[in-house]
Amino acid sequence: MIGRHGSLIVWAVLGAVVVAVQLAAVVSGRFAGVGEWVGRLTARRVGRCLLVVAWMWLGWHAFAR
Amino acid sequence: VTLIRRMTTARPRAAVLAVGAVGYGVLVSFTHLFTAAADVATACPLVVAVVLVGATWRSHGPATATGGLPVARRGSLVWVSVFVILAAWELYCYANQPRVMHPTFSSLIDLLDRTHVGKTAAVVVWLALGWFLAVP
Repeated sequence: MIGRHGSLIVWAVLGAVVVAVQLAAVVSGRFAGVGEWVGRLTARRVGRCLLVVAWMWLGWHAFAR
Repeated sequence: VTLIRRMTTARPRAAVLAVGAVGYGVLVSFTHLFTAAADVATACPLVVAVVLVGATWRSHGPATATGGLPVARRGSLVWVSVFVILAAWELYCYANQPRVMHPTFSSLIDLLDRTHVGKTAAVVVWLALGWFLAVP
């Protein structure tokens, strides 16, 4: 069984992976980063609305609940 | 001349927005979950976002063709893989108890929200993300 510290380390590693992939995307330019993906989604009304609703849920969940 | 004009008008605007976001973040950091104050403080940016999306609804047309499609497609497998792993780990933590031993993403946010500085930073990031999404 994985303990609390093990779980937090996994979260930290996953966060580092996200940052590393984003850096690789920005530096190499060979594939799209998060910004480009979000930009492509928000270019359409439906995608923009979905992301705004997700943002609303995130804020409510984190700060009000 | 246009660039200089744009920079001199954009920077004060960005500075005002940044100061406003930090100020609002400090305000929200003094609220607590499951209280009316937290509900109101969180609801205000949501209302502003709905108004902004509504105000720009007509001017925000369907996507135009861009040259970035092949680049975006190349990265899709990488990002999908990353987010599948993230989702799998979140589900694993969510399905296991006790929560203190298996913290979910929400638990991490709660950890951040325990201090005024952490919660202020979280609110500022959330507001910046909302601005990026709501204002085309």
